[in-house]
Amino acid sequence: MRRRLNMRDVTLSEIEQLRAEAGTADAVFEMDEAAFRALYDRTARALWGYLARITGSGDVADDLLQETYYRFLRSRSTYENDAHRRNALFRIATNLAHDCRRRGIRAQLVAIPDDELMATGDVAAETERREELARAMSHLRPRERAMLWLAYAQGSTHRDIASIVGVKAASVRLLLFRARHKLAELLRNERPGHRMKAGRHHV
Amino acid sequence: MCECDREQDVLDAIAAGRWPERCDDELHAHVSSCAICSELSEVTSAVVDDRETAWSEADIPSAGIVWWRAQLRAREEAARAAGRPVAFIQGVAASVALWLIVSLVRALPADYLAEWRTWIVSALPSFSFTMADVARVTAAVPLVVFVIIGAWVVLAPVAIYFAAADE
Repeated sequence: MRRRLNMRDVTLSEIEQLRAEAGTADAVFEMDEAAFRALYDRTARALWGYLARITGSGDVADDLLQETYYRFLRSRSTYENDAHRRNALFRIATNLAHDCRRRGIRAQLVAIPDDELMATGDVAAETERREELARAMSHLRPRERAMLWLAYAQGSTHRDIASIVGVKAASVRLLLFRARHKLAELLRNERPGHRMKAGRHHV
Repeated sequence: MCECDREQDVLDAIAAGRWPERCDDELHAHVSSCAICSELSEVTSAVVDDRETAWSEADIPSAGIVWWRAQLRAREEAARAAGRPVAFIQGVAASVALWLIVSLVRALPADYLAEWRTWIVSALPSFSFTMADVARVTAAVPLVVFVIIGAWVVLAPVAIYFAAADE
């Protein structure tokens, strides 16, 4: 039975073993280690954030992050510049998240306990805002989530969004507008005042 | 209508961290009167805040570890891919050998086969034994041999488990 190794469980001796094995073999990837490290340091955090928000789970994002970089390295494609490499990474990540959904690996929205919400001032308000956004995002379609995140969190251009998500560049503006409008409405509905009013109606 | 000329100004202000405190009154006035920019500022501010949270909670492994793991996995996959034709050829060879044996046996005359069957049955030793036979054998073998065999039976699966887990 093969034990699944978590990246954070790797010991120093294992790294030494890997280093020794890697040193004796020929280069496996098109990209060299220094270039990979530089690219990873520039993109990993943003890519993890993207994966975590479009899948709705940090654990799924952890797994998909590894897989994304592996597939990127294995693709052996050559890219003109860093922006193209970045787009390729986000495209792979989007497809992996899509595959995950198809296979039924669905993340559950983690409810924050009430006592945590009652924590002091700013922290409680910030946690509440985060919860509202997470709930609202969970009602959007995966493609809408991806487009909104790419446009407003990553600052991607419409052309980049089109190539990452797999839609026509000409459609991005309209799709983005619809997704934004939907999210704004959902956010308004998630506000505590609105939720209380809605609750009173139901009673 | 799904766009406004001032959208980029709103996005720039949010991206630069100027929105809403350090923006001019004119942009504030526009955003409060324009439904598109109002929605844009609301959504973008929420997403940008969430991005900061996501980036701060990201517990990503180091580049070096991801690189070495990817190398190891690529080599394993390459080794598996290289072994696939060998396994295929072995399978084909085994099938051909089996087919040849069956063809040969079928080509032999029936009485020749019957003769062989009789010879094989007579050559097989008889395995019928009684509890007395077992007792006689166990008495002859020293206890230490049984202890070694018992220990091996218990420890071998454990050793195999740890060997497989370390891979």
